[in-house]
Amino acid sequence: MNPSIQRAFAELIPPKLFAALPHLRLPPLRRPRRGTQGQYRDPRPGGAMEFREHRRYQPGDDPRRIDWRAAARRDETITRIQEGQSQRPLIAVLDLHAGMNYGAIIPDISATASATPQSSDRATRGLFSFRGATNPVHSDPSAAPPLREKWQLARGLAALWAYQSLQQENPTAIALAKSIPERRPPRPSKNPLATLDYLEELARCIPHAASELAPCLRALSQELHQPNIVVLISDWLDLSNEHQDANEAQDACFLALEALSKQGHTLVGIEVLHRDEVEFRFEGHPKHARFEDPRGRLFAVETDIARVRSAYLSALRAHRHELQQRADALSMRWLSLRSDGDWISQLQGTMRSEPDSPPLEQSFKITPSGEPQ
Amino acid sequence: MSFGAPWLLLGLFGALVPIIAHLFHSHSRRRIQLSSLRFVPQGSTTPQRRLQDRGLLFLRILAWIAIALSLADARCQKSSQLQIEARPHDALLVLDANARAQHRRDEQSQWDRQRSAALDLLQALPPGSRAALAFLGSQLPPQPFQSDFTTLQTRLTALGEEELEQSPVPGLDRQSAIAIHERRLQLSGLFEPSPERPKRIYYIAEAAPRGLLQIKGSWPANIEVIPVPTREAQNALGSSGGGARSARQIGIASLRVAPPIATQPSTLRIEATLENYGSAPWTEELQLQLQVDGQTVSTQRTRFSGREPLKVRWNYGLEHEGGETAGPQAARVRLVNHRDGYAPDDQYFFWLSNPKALQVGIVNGDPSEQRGHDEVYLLTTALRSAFVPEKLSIIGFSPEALREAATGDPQSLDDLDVLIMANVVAPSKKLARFLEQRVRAGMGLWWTVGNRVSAKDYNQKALSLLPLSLREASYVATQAGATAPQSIGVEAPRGAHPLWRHNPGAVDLQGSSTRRMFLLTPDPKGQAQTALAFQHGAPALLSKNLGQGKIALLTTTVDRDWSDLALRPGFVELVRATVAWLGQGRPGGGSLFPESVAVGAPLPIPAALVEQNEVRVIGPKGYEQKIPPTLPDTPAPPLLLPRAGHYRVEIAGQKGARIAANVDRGESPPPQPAAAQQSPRPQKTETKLATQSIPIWPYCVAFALLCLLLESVLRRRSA
Repeated sequence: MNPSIQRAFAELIPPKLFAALPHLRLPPLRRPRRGTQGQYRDPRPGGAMEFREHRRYQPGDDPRRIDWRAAARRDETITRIQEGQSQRPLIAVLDLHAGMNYGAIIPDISATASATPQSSDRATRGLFSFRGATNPVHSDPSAAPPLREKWQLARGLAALWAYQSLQQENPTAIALAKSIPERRPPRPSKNPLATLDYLEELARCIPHAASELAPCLRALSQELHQPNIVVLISDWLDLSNEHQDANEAQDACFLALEALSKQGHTLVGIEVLHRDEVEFRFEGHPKHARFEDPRGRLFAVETDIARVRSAYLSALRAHRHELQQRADALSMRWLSLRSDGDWISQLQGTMRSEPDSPPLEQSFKITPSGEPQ
Repeated sequence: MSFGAPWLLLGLFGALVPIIAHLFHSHSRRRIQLSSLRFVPQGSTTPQRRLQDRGLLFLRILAWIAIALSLADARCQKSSQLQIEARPHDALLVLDANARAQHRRDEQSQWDRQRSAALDLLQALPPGSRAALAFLGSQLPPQPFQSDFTTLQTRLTALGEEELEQSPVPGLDRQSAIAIHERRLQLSGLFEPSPERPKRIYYIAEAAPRGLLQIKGSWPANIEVIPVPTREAQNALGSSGGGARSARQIGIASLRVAPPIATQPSTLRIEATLENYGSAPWTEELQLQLQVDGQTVSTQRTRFSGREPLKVRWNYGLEHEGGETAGPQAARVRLVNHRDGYAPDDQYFFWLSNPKALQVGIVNGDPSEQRGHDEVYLLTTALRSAFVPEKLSIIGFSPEALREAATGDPQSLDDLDVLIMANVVAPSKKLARFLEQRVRAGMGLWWTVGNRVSAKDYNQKALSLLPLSLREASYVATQAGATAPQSIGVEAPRGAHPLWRHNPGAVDLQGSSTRRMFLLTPDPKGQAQTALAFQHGAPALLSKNLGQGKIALLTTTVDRDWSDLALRPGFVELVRATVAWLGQGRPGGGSLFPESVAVGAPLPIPAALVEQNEVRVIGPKGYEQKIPPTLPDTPAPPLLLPRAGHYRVEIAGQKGARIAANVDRGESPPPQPAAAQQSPRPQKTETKLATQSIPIWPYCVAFALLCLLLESVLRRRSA
């Protein structure tokens, strides 16, 4: 991989995750065959040279795949089915609604990087000093809100999947769920310049507006023809936008996901949540509170916070259960991560469900300071 | 409602503080950011900027208002029973600062009640009046008349009990028993001479016999004394009698030290009498201690029902030093476990000493070889039978020897306690003056008559030494048809006379017969008291007090010349009682002062005593009074015994004396008199009813605390 691209990934992926990356096998990316990096056994028959089976010819089969010798022996038309061999393009779709930037403020690595003097060499200046595409949300980097842990995790996860996909020489893209259809969704590519473009956009972008995940997925379902791995990263809590409320937008999302599923795309949904969103635990249990969401909508709660918390948790539990059920209906892998926990452990939990993933603790050790060895 | 500090009512604006705080709290409620607001139940939202927790707010406002009212010294006005002069006048407020002022009842002393009443009075005086302050029973200086009462109010407010205890002259404060009529001249002198202006004395005291009911005497015509009962007494007036009466009020009313008996000459018998001044019946176990020289030597527990006085007795053996009893020992009886709000009568101070031998001189004016006609023999026999030999010393004189001793060596008669002049020719005027001086100093003098007694000479030379002037001796009338004079007996002793106080039934002379006796001229002044009378009413034994001494006169003979009294069994008791009573004028073995006096009562000193000698009085708590020698015929200042306790009087060149001072028992809180008998109302003055301002700040503070307590409970429950 291009060193500058690798450095750009290193700046986007949290250091712990980046250090553990060689030992992570992210679903649905498979362990590659030895010596054939980037090629995977595809469950579907494809253009590989290896023979899988014979079957009776069916209308629609490529006539070039007819095994004439076998047909002569059996006196019927036999089609030769070969092992599928594919490069699985991956596109990571990252929700950009304001709630994604929630949680404790963490040092903004992009601010440090942007403070470095500009250089004409794009590869040596680093990713974040690159003046590429304009940030659709914040055109002025100095006015950008601070980076928070939830967004760092979401952004890091998108970069993580993209990085490993690129390592396996798959065409890869990161799509930011911003206002569609101004631009078409990016096409997965292995071009380093294209990779740097979406990495730069990812680095500069900070969630601030309403969710555009539903329109983005609808566009993807219309634009993507080749089977892709589609990784969707969002908190799935409030997908509302200017035209749809949260429930309508959520339904629209799953409608688009259903279309993508029917087109043969492999879907992975990642739910990134903050501790406050999961537990609704605020210290002191104030009797009176004024709630404000990151989009500036607010209202006051004057009643007992404990009762509000109970109702909130019930509603959230029902919502997540519904999400899980709808994902299962689409055979969609569903991962749930919390921004406040140990990200590696949480990923390890997801990896255990993968049959060919080695135990993480056998792969590397984590020092008491949290740095992997 | 009125306020002592109205400007502090500005604090009521502080009630806005909780309101603003609640609004401010609502405005600055905690702000919580959350991205998943869609799951927060929308029904729990309410508009902002509204008062929350109205119950808490209400309690806080109430607490604030109560605190502001208490700081402003809120008082509610109540029409009182106080009668005050309606016209502008000069008002002298006299507060009773005697011992009874420290009586505490319902956690408040009588003194504080009087101060409150005085403050109420000052507020109620009509405009244009002037007021002054005086204190009865205290040496606190009076406050002169002034139109602005601020100084007086400040003075009254500052005059707590502590300051009263520390008055400029220690003593005479809070333990004295001075009636207002005893200070009539001093109080009248405080008024300024302005005949057209009404002058009123408001006497603020307890509605008790020793308080408001003691107003008597003639006051100047333009001064009227208006009794002002304290508030409690006013309430009692409104109720049906005795509402303020204390339930349990016990004090040591009196104490007596009886002389030793013959079998135990060094053992004294102490008898304390407890009295209940409160209501009965109830029963309480009391504990009394006898302390001698500061050490508790005996403790007695007894149950007291309060119905009748209770006598508690001790037998105390005096210590011996070299065969003789030790000197006087300071002693007191103390009531330990009873707290009734009035402490002075819970203890009684006295001196313990073995009385010295009573010296009785007998002047025999008509010696006889026949014992039955010899006064000295009969009197000596009776005295030796009546007294312990160690406690009696009899000296016989002839009239000439007495005259020589009186003129040549008067100090040889100093130790003489009782002198019996038995059938003696009338003394010369010089001797009579000598005897009168001795009697005034405390000696007892007993005249018995006989053939040598001439009524004319006695009336001319020694009238002041007789209870009544003598008429001629007369025989009892002879019965018709008989030649011998008729005899007559004596009546039973008259128990009212102090001579028979201790044992009136022991004198049995009813079988006696007397043929001749001196008749006496009735005394219009009524100074003489009859202790014994003949059956036809003529007095047989009379007495009178002269100075500190006492004089007795037996109107018949001691021997058998005129009567056979000496042959009767009751004669011994007659002689014993008479001599003992006469000897009381010089108690404590010839002391110059009585052994027990009331606190605050000035004790006169014989002028002859301080003419050449300095007198020093040493009392409790370091008290000391020195009286320098005075010029001849110059009255000496009296001894001042300011506090209850033991006093030693030291006279340069002479032996000292011991005095025990106790608070006048009349100061003990008496049972509340019936409402009808309470403070008399002035009728001739045009008066009006004063209003009382009752402070309500304690209630305000209590209410504020209650509100804050409820507020904390509500706050904790809502948290």
